[in-house]
Amino acid sequence: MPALSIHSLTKKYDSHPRVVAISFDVPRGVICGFVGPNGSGKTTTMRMLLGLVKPSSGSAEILGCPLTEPSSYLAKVGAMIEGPAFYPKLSAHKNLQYLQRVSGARVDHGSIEEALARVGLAGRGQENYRGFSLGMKQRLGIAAALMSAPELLILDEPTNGLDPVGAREIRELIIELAQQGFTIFISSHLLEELELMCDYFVMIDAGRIAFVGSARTLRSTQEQTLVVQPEYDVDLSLLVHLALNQGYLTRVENEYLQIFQTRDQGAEFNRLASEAGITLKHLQITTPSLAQIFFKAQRE
Amino acid sequence: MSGLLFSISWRVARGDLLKLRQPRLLVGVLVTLTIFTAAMNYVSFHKRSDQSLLAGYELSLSFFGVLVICLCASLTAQDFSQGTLRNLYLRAPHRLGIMCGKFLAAALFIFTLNVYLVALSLICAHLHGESFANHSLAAIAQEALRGFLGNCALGVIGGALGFIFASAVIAIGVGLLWSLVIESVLTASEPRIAPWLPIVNCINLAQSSQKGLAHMTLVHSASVTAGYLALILAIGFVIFSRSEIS
Repeated sequence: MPALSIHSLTKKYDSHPRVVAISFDVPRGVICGFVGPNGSGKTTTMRMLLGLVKPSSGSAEILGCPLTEPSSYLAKVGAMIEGPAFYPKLSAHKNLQYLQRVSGARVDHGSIEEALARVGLAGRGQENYRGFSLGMKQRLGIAAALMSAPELLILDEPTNGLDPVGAREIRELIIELAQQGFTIFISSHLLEELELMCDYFVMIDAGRIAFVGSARTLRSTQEQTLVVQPEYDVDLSLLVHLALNQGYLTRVENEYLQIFQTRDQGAEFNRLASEAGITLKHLQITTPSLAQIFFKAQRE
Repeated sequence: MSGLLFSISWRVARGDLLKLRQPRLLVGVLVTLTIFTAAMNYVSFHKRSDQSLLAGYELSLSFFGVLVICLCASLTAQDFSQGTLRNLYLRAPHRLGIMCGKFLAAALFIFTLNVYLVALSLICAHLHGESFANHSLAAIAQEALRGFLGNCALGVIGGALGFIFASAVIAIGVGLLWSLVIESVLTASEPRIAPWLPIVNCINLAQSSQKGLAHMTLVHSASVTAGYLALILAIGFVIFSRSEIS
């Protein structure tokens, strides 16, 4: 049973569709990156999954429970959506204590301190939330999401406002949580960051799903670029002829030859060059980054 | 269903009491009420001699009522403006339960403040040399209970305004404008409609010795207040249950 199973979920505002009949599954135990440009419907989708917004049509199951009954699954879901939100005049500790009380759990000061320490806020619990930096607020938001030991974490831009060290710490924490069996559904506009931790992706653009699948599938569907450089510059034109004869698209940039739309053909081209008496000084296969894949998908 | 509603209401109320207990808010409210009530007691005992022990308390109830409207409006509306409502909903996914919990917390807070005001007024009366022998405990309890019920009604109005407008500034503004200006103008310009105005009836419910409105019985005020509360709560719930939580 997938952690999330969404069927034709649609949200319209005044007949303007924000999310258009999206359907996808997120398997359990993965870190799923939810990728899309601003205004593509990421947050609206997350808000629908949490019962904060009613969908216009469609259905979904969250941890096997229907979307229409948020009370049946929300106790098993930890979430930080649209940034952290806490009472500014209460301390971090009191804010988490408030959430423990509201969730019906017994107030456990030890677990609160543990949650704070887990996100790097050890010793800062008695400070007022109002005085926190944006990064500290984000960390407190993640601590609050982790407090109920959820099976599914839904995080909207969790590293927003964090410095590189803080972002790496949160990334490591998310990877650690996934290793413990949590399913994490995470949106971010920092694609490089998602690339480092996600093993599953859902791409959304203008409210429509552009891709759903594992990171490996995503990359395997992408064409690679072969970058080669002959030992002697005079051989470059010969290499171009070789590539064109094989039907490849090519481009020469400085003393490098780029051969597009290849798929694991590095060895074959190396052999061809060798048979033609050309020694290659440099041979590199480049795979597009998530950002490049994403921008390409957007253009298409 | 009712068990779940009660459970969620109680959880929300416990959470909100943590907010209401924050030292700056609590001390601020207590200091303000102490100064005002002490002043009202001083004025009351120096101007009149034939009065109840809680005369100062009754005089301070109008001010307390205004404070209660502001507190309850901000208690509910701030969750919308600060975005904390989504935290609340994710842990207590029951909108009626959230509403009831907030009103329960407000009622407990008003009860505590009311007890404090009564005690303060009794201390002031004692310091002024008033004899307790001429007053029955039942009469004092009845006055205190009326004060509590009247202010609870004002608190419900304030809290419902918070749910309706989802903004503390607007909810407090509308509450104050209605209670301090509009009802005063309406009462002055058309005295016949005064017995049918919500705040007038809440105050009448709270103050047993209110003058000039002798034709408004306790039953009348309680009935009119109940009607208004039912109406504003229904509007608040319909709006809250249909609104998106952002």
